[in-house]
Amino acid sequence: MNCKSVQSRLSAYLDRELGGDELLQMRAHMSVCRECRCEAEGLRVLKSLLGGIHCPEPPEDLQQKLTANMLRQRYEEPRKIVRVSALMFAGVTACSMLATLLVLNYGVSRHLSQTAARGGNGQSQIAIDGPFGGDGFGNAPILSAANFGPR
Amino acid sequence: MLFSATKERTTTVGDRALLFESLIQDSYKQAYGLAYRLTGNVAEAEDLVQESFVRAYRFFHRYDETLPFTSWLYRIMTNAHIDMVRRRGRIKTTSLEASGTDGATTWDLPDSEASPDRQMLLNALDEPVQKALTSMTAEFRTAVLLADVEGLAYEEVAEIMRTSVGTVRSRIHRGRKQIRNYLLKHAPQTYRSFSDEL
Repeated sequence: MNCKSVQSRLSAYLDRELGGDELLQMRAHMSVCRECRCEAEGLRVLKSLLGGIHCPEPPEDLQQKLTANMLRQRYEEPRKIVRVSALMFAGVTACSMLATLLVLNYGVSRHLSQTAARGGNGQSQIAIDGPFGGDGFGNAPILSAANFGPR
Repeated sequence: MLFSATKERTTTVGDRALLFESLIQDSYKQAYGLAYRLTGNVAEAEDLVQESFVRAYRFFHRYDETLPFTSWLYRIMTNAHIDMVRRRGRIKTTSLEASGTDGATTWDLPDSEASPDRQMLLNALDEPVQKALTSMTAEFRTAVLLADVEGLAYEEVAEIMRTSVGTVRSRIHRGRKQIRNYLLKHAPQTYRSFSDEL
């Protein structure tokens, strides 16, 4: 082990995080290298300093604030679940409506193209042959086309 | 039947709230100490502690009660701190200073009994140490604080920071050297006096 590799392991050495061959090689090198010993002592001083620094006292009301936060969360949680459920319900409803509309649209366009292919006169003709057929509802064929178009 | 199930659940939730309250009581001072060292000021430290406990309670069902609560809380706190730093756009990208070797000085082993002089020097170095910590990247600062101030083993630090022991080893070593270089540059006399005291 050279000085560079020893010095890169000095913190781990001081923290007793080395073992086996690595530790033995470190000890062997340090016993003959004054520079690495000095570097180790420098880091040892720093470690001691960091371990001794004073940690400030928390504000007096911090514990009460933390407990109050917890209680607030505890009582807000069920309401949140209700809100999420309502949102999910609205989302699912909107998606189903959209899907229905898409299916209807698909049915109409398919029916129209089939009718056009059969008629061949270039004029769109909607077959009014469903339950609403011929009842005077001019726009009703949308439903009938969707339900009975692809016969 | 339904009532008893609901009652049982309520009791469990109530028990967990009681348990969490006792954990707050046991750990908030220690948590505040780490938060203060991470953030460098009292206002942000308080915000960080509150945010950490809020997150801890939200995910309390995931807490493994056989493990120390503080380790779990510190993991939450370090993530919350990094989020906080990112949100405020204050991630430090200072380059790593090359390690300096002062070569000529040797020190004795540290004395476990702190003398009044040593305590005075520690107090005098408190501010420069905090400034040195604040000048480092959040990752280096966290690793050094968990190892040196909280006294955790590298494996625990790695677990909290969700990284490898090798990365922790490197961060701690480079972090310490950055702090030492900072002190030698900005508070050389006090730091040397402290070294002589040991």
